[in-house]
Amino acid sequence: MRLHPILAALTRHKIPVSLLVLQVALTLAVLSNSSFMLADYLRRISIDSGIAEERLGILKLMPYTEQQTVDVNARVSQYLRGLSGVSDVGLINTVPFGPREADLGVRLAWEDQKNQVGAHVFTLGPDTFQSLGLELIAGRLPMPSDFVESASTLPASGTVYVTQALAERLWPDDGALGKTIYVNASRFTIVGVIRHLLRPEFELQPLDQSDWSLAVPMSPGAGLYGNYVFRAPASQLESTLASIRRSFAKEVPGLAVDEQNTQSVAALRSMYLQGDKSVMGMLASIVLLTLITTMLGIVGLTSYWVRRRRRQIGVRRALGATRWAIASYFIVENGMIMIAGCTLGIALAYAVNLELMRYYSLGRLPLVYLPVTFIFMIVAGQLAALGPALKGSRVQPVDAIREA
Amino acid sequence: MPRALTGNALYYIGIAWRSIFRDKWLSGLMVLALAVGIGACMTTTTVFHILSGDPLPGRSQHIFYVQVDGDPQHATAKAPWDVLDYRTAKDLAGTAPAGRYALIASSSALIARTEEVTQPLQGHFLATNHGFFQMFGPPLAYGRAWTEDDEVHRARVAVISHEANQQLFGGGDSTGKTIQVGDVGYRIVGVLAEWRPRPLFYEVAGGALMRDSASTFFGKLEDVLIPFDTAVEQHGKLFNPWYCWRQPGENESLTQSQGCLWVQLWVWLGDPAAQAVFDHRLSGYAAEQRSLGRFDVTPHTRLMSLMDWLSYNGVVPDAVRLQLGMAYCFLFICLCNAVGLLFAKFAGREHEFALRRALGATRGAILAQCLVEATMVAILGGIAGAGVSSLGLMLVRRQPFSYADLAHIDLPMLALLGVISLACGALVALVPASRAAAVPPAAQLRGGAA
Repeated sequence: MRLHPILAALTRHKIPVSLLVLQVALTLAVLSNSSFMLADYLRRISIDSGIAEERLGILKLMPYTEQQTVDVNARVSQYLRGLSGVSDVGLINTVPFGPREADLGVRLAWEDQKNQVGAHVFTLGPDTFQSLGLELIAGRLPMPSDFVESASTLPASGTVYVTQALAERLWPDDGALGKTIYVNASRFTIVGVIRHLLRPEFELQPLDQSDWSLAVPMSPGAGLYGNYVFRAPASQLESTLASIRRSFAKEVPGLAVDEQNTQSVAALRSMYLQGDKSVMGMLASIVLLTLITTMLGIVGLTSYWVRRRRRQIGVRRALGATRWAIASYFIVENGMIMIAGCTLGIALAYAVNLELMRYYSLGRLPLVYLPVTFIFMIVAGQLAALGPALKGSRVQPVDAIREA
Repeated sequence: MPRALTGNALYYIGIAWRSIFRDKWLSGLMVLALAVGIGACMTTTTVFHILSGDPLPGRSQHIFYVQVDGDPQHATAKAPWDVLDYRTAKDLAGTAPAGRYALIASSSALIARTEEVTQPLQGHFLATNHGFFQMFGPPLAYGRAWTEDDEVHRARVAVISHEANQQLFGGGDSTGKTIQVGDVGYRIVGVLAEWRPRPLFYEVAGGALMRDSASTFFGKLEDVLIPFDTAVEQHGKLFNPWYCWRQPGENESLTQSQGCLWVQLWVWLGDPAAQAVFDHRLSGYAAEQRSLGRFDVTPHTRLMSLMDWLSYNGVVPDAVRLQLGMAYCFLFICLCNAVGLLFAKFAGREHEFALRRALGATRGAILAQCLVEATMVAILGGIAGAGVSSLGLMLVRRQPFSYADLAHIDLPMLALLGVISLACGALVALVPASRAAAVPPAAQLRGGAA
């Protein structure tokens, strides 16, 4: 097929053609940058917390004034063990998707205040390691002697577990087992490495730091109380929690549960990620609308050109042009518009990305997005033009005569 | 003449109406594209408008937020920590001009009626001082605010919110009754009328450090307001520090701790001179405290106006700005679409225009007719756009953000809707219409319907 006549016809309609080119370019810029952002959100909402979310529930107490924390822990644990289906009751300061309790600086040398690595410190009571379902990839499980007493939120010294990600950050070329770290005024020896343990409120940090956590075994007492984790079958978990919220005050007099934070970990997760999910929804719907609008625009304009040229089509058909020749004319015409629009669009996408990097915490658009959206847009444009083009190819030679 | 004009206008509208219906699909496409574009813009603009509003109109320009940061590890940071330690807040409050300041700290607590045994409310209390009422002007439905005298005598008095009054007392004048906060009873001296500053400006601290945090900035007022010093005396242990750059010692309370930040200080500065004086006083205080040895470095200080403080803390989240940008970009795409389609449409009628020109219609007449038709498309688009935006806002209200329930279209937004759709109409109409009007009469007739 010769392209020259098509190009000549296009230049006769400069304004509608250039508007369509501009529209395609903008759509490509929106599409590439939005899919990049959507991919980032997708990574956030599908993050691995490292614990058995589906089967874990949390019971959190409201603040209380008495100082008999040992007694409180015993009473609440006993109450929880008495519920049907509940097993593996343990104490923990907070859980992934719960409130942040101890974002602290980790030091490799006692006196080195400059090079601190921020990590979240979880404190775990006996049995909590197992009930969370943490995956140990090196070292040993906690032993009874690891659980040390402390009056404050961290023991002065003891053993600690690090996540794989944090171990790699602290000792890039060396194993972590047996090493010593310092946190605030405490000194810990690493006895195990765990696969994952997500920091609470992980979105406050860059995504690659979301797994920087420590887990410190500790005895229940004045430094660890009031927040309990337990296992129950996934199907029973919500009803168990509902009955806790309902009957706790009667069963354990003098104490009250913090209803907002007495939840299944799955519920805490979906509450924490709700905002991200709805931003994703809005982003995706704007992208979809943009794409649909542009495709409808292509359909509308192509059908108009087809209709305006009915006479010429009829004449060409009468002179022996095949249906395919007629349809391919419009397909190629659309292809030229799309290629021009997408090429301009790539430049525009890049410019939009630079602006987004300046004003929002967004990274550089990976190059692979450009060819992928380019091809996608071309295919979408061709599909949009296909219907009107085929309709044009069905014009009979006799139509041309009737029309005049 | 006027009659002729009206007659003409009616004639054009008639022609336009028939033309719109002749190409149902094409016209529908244009109206739909404009409607969705305008609807998306209106939805995001309304959300933006709500989020960027002034919580205290008429007052906000006089209200300032005080920051003093003595954390040695934070000395090189761009901005001081957002909240003050107890001692600094108290010291600086004492120097506020005319004693117009508000200290603020809050905590959750069990709240209940004293006289009746009912299920306690898991609520929140706000510890503040009488300056809160003077400066921020919350409207009272019953009773009064407490006085400086009450504060000096450590009176256990409280002002409760409209919602708490409804929930605990079923509404009505509850002054004189008592309310339990934790295990302490307070006599109610005032009941607030409905009041919800947007955003709840004393909740935004720390926003600059977080990602998309506005979801918590538009919440409701605390249930109970009690005098600051009384609250610290009675419930000192309940307060959670915002941040501790040095952990408190074994027997150190929050009020003694140097490194735990948990009190906000707002001051009223009536004019630029007062602001300059107070700003100077802040740096003087910082230097003095350094020389007294209370801090290891000279604290970094900052005085920010209420509106600056809100924007510094990112009250309008990035996601909302992004959506706003995308919606206008989308509207632009819709406009391109409509212009292109209208162009094609008028081009299809060149023969008709040529004929009318040959029969004596002026260029102006053709132009007017095309403009009327394009404007009608834009008006239809605008009306449908209002529907789309109310649908969009309904979707926003179902989202899990604290501002979600505020997402309603208001009068200025409705006016903007009208302006946007007419501007769209003009933009869409002008170029295609002027091209259509430029059709020479003879050439077209000779060429036939090419």
